[in-house]
Amino acid sequence: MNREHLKLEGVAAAPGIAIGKAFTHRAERPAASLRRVPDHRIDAEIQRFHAALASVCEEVRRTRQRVEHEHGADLAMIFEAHLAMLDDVQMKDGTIDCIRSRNWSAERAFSETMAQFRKSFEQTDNEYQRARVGDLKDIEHQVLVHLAGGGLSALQSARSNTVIFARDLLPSEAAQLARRLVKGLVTDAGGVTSHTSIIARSLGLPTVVATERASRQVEAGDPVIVDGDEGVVHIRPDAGTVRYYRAQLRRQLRRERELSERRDLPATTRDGAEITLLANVDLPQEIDQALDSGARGVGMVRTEFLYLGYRLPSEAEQLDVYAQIVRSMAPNPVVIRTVDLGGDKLTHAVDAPPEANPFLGWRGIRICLDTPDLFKTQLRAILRAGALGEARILLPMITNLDEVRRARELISQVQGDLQQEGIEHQADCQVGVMIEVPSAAIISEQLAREADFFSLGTNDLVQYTLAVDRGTARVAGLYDPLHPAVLRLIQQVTDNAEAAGIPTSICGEMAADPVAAVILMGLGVHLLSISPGQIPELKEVVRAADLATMQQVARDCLGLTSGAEIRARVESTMKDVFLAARPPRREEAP
Amino acid sequence: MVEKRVTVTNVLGIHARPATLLVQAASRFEADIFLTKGDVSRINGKSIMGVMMLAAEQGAEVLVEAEGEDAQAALDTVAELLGNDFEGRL
Repeated sequence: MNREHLKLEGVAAAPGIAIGKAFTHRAERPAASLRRVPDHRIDAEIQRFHAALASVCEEVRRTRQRVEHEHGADLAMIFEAHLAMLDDVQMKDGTIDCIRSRNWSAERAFSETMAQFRKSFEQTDNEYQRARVGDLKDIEHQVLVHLAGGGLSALQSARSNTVIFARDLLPSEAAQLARRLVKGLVTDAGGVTSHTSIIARSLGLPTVVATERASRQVEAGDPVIVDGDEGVVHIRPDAGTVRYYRAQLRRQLRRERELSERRDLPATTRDGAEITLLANVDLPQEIDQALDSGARGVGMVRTEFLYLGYRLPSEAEQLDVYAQIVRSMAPNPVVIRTVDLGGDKLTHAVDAPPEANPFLGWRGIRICLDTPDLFKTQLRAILRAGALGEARILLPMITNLDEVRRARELISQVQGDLQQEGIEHQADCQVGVMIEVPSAAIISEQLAREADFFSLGTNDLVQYTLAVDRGTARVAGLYDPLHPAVLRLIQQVTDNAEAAGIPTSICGEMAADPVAAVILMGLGVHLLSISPGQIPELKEVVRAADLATMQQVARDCLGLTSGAEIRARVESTMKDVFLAARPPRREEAP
Repeated sequence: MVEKRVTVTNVLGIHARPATLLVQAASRFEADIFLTKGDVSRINGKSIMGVMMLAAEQGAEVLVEAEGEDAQAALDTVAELLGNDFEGRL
């Protein structure tokens, strides 16, 4: 047997690091008895089958209750589906028919019936449906164990500091894992969308799936490390690897502790100015992370992912997504950016001829205003979702006042339609303008009269102002969000917004850079929207700073002549005045 | 026997969770309910295995048939669930 350090790559299914001892779990499938059931025993055999189903149902019901209590109704729905499968008429009729007409044992009749179902599920090329084979196997296993008179799963004998290694793990088994004892999970098979992976994520169990051979390479009791961030498993790791991961784990635990301790602290500067930290979100699945990070709302939902298929998303599909986000965030607001197609975000669903300069072409609000049906479908979905909390509409790529007026006209039309159709919607929805093109910044005084808020889209604002494409290596060095021209444009925008009495937020990557954030806050941007993971760090910066100093620094910076000077100026203030602590960065993995 | 053609609008198509809701609703009726999609033969609308096997993706057209005393009510309920993205139960 190979006793060397072994590093296996798989697919990261649930994040985090686990260090422990291997517990190998081999689901022993009870053998289906081939005995022939004599005619006079047939009714009793059918009774035995019903009794096994009833006890499994009872167990699943208990699991469902516990999961619902601990993890919520969504996850419990998996077991609701299992209950429906256990009560399936086709499954029951098929099994009973085999017992009665072929004199098969309940075990054999049931496995053969389930095998038929499994085969048709395995044959499809639908990934989601193939993943459901795991649910079928789960049911089958449990019923067979009960028919064999079996009891508790071997998993419950797992000791503390255990990492479970299995060829595959059934969802019901995953739900039994006690977080206190089990530290991680590794499977040979599986995918990120399987129910087992979903359960592992919500249990917070670092998990790597699809390792193909991990369960055969490991022996019970081997020291192991699971890196659920990178999708890597170390079996019998060498001393250096252990040291590295011990340090990582300590850092992870410390970060988690700090995060949970500080999540509810307000993002208030030392002189009492309130800053609102918001999350940028693409998918509803990111909402939990946003809430955990202490976000006070969603500053921007990008909606392009809905449009990347070959067909435009329907109102119902969009409503489904927006409603989940708005409802989870209520009463905090959720800013939904109307779809920003074009540029580098292509879609097959809209017929757009190729362009020589896509970033100067048909994109953002231009596509929406030219295809009002597409736009109105999205507006309807946003306004309907708004009834569940508070949605706000954000218009991308605005370059003139007329575009804002036309968009608002369409929004009013849609509100009128919904009113007439008697469909519940948000009647008082705020409409914001994205400032991401120099022309919009320059006429921000006029735009401020037609907008309820501004949102700075600095990624595009920087590229359009400096005429630099970050993706072009030779000029990438010229891309500088702290360029004095960019800061002066931002100052114009915040001054005009303030004069009109509307807020300015930022939803570009720039806000995640503490130096830029200090300048932005000093210029009057008091709503910062960034990736959820960056919020705790930025909150530290806010809490260490004071607004009066930031305003002074921002004023000074506007007089400087280069991004490098500006950065040096802000950094020295942060060091001398703010003492902003930053958590250590993750080192290179061995 | 009554029947209706419905386009599936649920964002995930009929998968485990919507399939469960569908079967639960269908089972409340006396009438027999059958679903047919393209080349997949008629499946029992009260069987979750069957409904999951349909693999009715969003956008797929499904023929719903119902037969029995409360056939019309059963048909309307099932058709609405398929075509109405299971609203209120998101």
